[in-house]
Amino acid sequence: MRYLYGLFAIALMALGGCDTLKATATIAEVASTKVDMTELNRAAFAARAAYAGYVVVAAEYNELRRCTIAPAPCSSQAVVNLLRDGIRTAGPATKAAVDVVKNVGTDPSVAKLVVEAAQRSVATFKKVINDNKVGG
Amino acid sequence: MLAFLTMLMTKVPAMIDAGIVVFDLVQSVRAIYEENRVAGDADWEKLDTVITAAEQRAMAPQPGEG
Repeated sequence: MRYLYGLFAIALMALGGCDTLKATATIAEVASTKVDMTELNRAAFAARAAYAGYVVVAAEYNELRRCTIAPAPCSSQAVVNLLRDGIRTAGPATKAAVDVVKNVGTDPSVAKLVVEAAQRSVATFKKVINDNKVGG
Repeated sequence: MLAFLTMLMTKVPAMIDAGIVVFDLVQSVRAIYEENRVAGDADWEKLDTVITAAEQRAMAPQPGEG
């Protein structure tokens, strides 16, 4: 698609004039916006799906009996608390990313910031899971 | 040892279920990229269903918690 926009821009430039340059810039902006939002949509989906996977692991861990009353395999209340903090942060962050990419009118630069924040929150959640060997 | 094996056996079905859910999530993301499309309503709803159920389970108080 970008290739077609490029060809169209070159054709306009061949016609000459300032209006042509303005039109070319507008077309380039539209093209880059379209590509960015598509990629952001996929990035938001990937972040939300990764979050879903980690929550499933956290749920399994929470349902193990606590180590204070059961032998291994068991769960630590301190780790469960960290996982719940991760859910409270990454859950709304990934939901916000979904909302911005689904909203057609969102400014792509704003959407990018929201999606990046969601990715960071999921990475933090993942680190809690890895550092504490949750899920094996 | 017997207690450990018993506990492990009771967890195996849950572990398999979790594995299937995670595998399914990976396949969903892969499909979006390989089919070169954006996520549609059905894709988002499927994710939300998994997340809502898992969040409730992860937040539910367990025996010995306090």
